[in-house]
Amino acid sequence: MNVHLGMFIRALRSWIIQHPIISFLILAYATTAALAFVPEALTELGLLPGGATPHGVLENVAGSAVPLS
Amino acid sequence: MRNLARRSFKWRVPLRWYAVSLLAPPLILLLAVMALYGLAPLRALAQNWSLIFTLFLPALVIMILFNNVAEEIGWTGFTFARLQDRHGPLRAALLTTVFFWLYHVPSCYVETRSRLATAVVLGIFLLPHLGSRLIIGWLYNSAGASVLIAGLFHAMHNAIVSATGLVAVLALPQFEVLVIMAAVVVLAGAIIAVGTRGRLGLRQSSESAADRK
Repeated sequence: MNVHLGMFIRALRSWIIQHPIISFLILAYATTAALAFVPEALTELGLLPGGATPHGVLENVAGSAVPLS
Repeated sequence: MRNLARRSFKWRVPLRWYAVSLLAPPLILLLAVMALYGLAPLRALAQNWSLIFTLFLPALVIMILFNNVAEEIGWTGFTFARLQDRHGPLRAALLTTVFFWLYHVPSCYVETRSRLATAVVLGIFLLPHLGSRLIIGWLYNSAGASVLIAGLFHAMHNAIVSATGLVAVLALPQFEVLVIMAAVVVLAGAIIAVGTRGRLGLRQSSESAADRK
């Protein structure tokens, strides 16, 4: 598993070095999209069934289930 | 990275470039609004002069410190500079415009909450974005690859059109100042592109590559 992860990271690093501008654009767009949409989406109703919100799910999963596991 | 850092904070440039990036935009705007509105903006300026120090300059400082200089490190210092080495200054400015313009899609959508409104707003501001990229590219090249000078211009532009910026000092509707500045930027960008024959102040290719080393 670690070998595969190491190979993936080396391949990713090699790709970033060969395509610096695209790498920057992906980083910039992902960051702005995350900052623009994630805070809104976390409390958005209707994204999940039964009136659940992503924030509520994260709260239960990350706040309760993960510490207990 | 060291080269990018050096270019990002290159402040030892001729004073005229500080004047062009910081003084030219508000002066040109003042002339434009006087041509359009007569003496009313000047009277508002005389009446609201203290807002220059309590609203406009603080907005400008915040833009410089936390916003636009940092923004230009990525868009001008990195993206435009690399594209310029490969494709020349004019094509680099065109390409950077597209990438920079698309960068505003998420924030525009959050403001409008409408895909149609987002498309309309972005469509309207495509040409001003191109104009600003031409001006910023010219400032960057002419000031000897200084991202700081480019960032100062961007910060001044944003401080002018901000609701708590020069708009408040001149007591004009923000939307109208935005449109006027957009027209000024488009015109200035076109003049610079034509006047420099597409070189945008870039010196010979061997010298520009040396700037980046």
